[in-house]
Amino acid sequence: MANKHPRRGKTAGRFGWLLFALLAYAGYKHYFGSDDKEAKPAGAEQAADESSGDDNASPQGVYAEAAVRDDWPKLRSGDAAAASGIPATTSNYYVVLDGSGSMRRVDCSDGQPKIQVAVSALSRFIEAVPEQANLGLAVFDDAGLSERVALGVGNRDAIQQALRKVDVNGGTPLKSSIELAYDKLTTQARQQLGYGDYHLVLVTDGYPDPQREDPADAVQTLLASSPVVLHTIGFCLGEEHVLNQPGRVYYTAADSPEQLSQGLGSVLAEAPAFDVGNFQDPEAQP
Amino acid sequence: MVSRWWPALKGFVVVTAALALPAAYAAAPKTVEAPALTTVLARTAVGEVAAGTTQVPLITWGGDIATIVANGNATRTVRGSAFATEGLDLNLVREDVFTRQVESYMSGRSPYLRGTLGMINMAADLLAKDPRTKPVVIYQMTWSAGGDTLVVKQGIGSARDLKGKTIALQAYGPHVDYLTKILGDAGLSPADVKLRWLPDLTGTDDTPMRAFQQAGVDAAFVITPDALVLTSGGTVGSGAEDSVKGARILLSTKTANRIIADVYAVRSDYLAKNRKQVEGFVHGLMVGEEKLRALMAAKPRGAEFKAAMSASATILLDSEHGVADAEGLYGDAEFVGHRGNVEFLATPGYPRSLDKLDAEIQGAFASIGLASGSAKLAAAGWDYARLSQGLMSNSGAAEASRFDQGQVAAVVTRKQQQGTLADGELFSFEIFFQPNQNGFSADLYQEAFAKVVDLASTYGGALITVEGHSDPMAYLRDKKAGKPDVVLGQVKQAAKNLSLSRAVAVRDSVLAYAQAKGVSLDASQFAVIGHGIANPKSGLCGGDPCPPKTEREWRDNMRVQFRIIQVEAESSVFKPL
Repeated sequence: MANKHPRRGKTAGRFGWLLFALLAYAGYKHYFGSDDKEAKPAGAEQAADESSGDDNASPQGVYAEAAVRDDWPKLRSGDAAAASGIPATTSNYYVVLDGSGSMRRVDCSDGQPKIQVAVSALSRFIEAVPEQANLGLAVFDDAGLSERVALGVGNRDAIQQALRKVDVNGGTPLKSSIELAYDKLTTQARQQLGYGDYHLVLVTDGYPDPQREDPADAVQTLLASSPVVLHTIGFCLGEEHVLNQPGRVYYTAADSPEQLSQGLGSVLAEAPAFDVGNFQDPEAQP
Repeated sequence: MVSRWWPALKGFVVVTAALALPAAYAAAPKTVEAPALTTVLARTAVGEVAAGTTQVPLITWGGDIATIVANGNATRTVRGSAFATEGLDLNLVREDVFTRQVESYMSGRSPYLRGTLGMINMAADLLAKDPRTKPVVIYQMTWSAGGDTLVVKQGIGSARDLKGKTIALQAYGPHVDYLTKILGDAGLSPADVKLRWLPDLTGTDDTPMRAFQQAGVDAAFVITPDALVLTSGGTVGSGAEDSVKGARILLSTKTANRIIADVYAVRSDYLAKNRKQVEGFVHGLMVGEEKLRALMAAKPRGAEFKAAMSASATILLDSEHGVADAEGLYGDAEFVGHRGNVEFLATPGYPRSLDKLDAEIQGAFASIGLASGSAKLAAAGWDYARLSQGLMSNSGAAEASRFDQGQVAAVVTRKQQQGTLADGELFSFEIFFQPNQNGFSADLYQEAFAKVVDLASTYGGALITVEGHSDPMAYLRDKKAGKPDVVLGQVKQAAKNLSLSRAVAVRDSVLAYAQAKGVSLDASQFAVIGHGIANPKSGLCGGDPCPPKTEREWRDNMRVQFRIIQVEAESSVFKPL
């Protein structure tokens, strides 16, 4: 079963001995493996390798703050846009669902297993995503971390079916899952030559497990290299999660089924549609 | 002067160039003055056209292979050939020295003139002095499509950089109108440059190539084999083996593929008395071109192909073994066929018509003293429906897309990311739009759209990027207001998407405008880019766009830029033939 560490920051300050024990446990898991089935699949390793390659060679700073940076994704010779030559400005949503062992629990989910509540909320979210947007799904569960449905349109039924097949168990490979999703979004961005918008939606109830799955570096790489927007729905996690980085990513603490649905709903609300007026307001004259 | 174009010298030029003294030690080539032909040939008398076998001039150019094929692969018309079928008896005579051709034409030894439209324009004033010799354009053979090249030295990045520079080219040769068109499109005139005239085109010590090897000459119009020598194989000249250090190709007629038109003209008196024969000559040329096209396309190539190439090598290159070079000649020319003749000679709205080119050339030549500016070449006014009879494809194939649009989009985006979009730039200009403007109708941008149509039509081998830019004020306002990074990122990305949408809208409007004018542009030639707020006109302040200080600066950010880019080295963007 996954080892969850709610409110790690506070407990570390107040219970130093407990932090020591947790670190020792993490070290043990790092060297001897987990009793949970959380080994990363080959695809995830590859994604991690590619994500740390030249394409993402500048993990400092924040892409959004560099107004004149316009270099994502790095195109390679052989990349080609649509045959029409008009790059697509399609929206892209890549969902990562936590199917770790702790999702069997029934805390803050009205007595239902959390996975059941999450799947139900995601089903509604999927229906709300515009049909012309690309949607993809990756899951980490008893089968490990892998993409279950590739980014695309017309794949909503396949995603619904994949959600019903999630078999909870294993650890919480947050870093690998973010790297996997980022890699898939980057690949899609090459086809769109960087136009459109890109959203990584992570629904999780846990902290990185094992420790080497701390997602901090992966998140920094994503923020420094790309315009990908990271949305994390922390289910029964409260506010103090490593992915709660105010101003840099969207984080929603969902402590009930209703809040989980609202959090997912906000993913779409947080992708505002800009029109010409946003950029050419006559009142903006100096 | 020697030939119009002589790729047969490819091997010769390379070998002799390698054996020659280093360029720095070579003697300076002889330059000449280039007064108008009215002065040069002032004493040439006009005579009646000789009776009997009709003498027809050829020049060393791929288009002339079709003439040889139409004549039965011989200088004298062969029984059963296309020309014989028209009832003609012709004697083909190669004459690469244009002034000698004009003399033959005026004296009556031949009723025909063979040259580029620029060359014939140079003679137009002289020939119009006598109504008998006033030239009438009867047929377009080809467009130059790769054989003629402008090479430049370091420091010349685009055509407008030619201002104040010294340019070498052959006097009365095929590149004079090539020069004036490029200057005109860059907003320059011949008065903005210094011209150095050379007597020969290639193969001697008195050519533009030799002049380019001297200090003080910044650019030269040369045939492509010479350009390859000067630029170390079409890259950047290393300074070794007759190349010039730092020299590169600015553009060739692979890019500027609607500038040099090769044509036949005929004397007015001969046309009036022998219209049926002249029409038969034109029809025979069309049949010959179709036959040549079929011979080149056939696989495997048979004895007929070998006979045609061997005869062409003998007549045009003085060597029956120069078959490969004759094929090279063919490859640098784009035959226009019946359809192209209709466009060029009988479609007033066609952007590269005889009338359009004539007006351009006359105006430009007047500024350098080669023409009065008032001479106007007439077209024969053929019945093209009748001329189509007996042709395999009487309307000709519609022009296919030349570019792989998916590859084009990726290549220009990669250049955008690398900041190298300007590297192949030939020309560029901008249009501006108003706040809250969604549409880009032709009514608002008539002049700019007409310019795009003209450039797209003239530089058919170049890409035209349509680049949208967004106003950065929304981003700057949000940043000043302390909006978080995650919001700023979305604003920035939305600006990028919006600028792309604008570029697409402008591209669509240009294509619609062209269509409304009866001009069919190749949509694949246009690539759209959305820069978002990454390239503000107001400049950069730190890492951000500078807030505009004036309304003018603010409005200047709202723009769409057109850029004409030479992509001859980007083979992936061209569709396979």
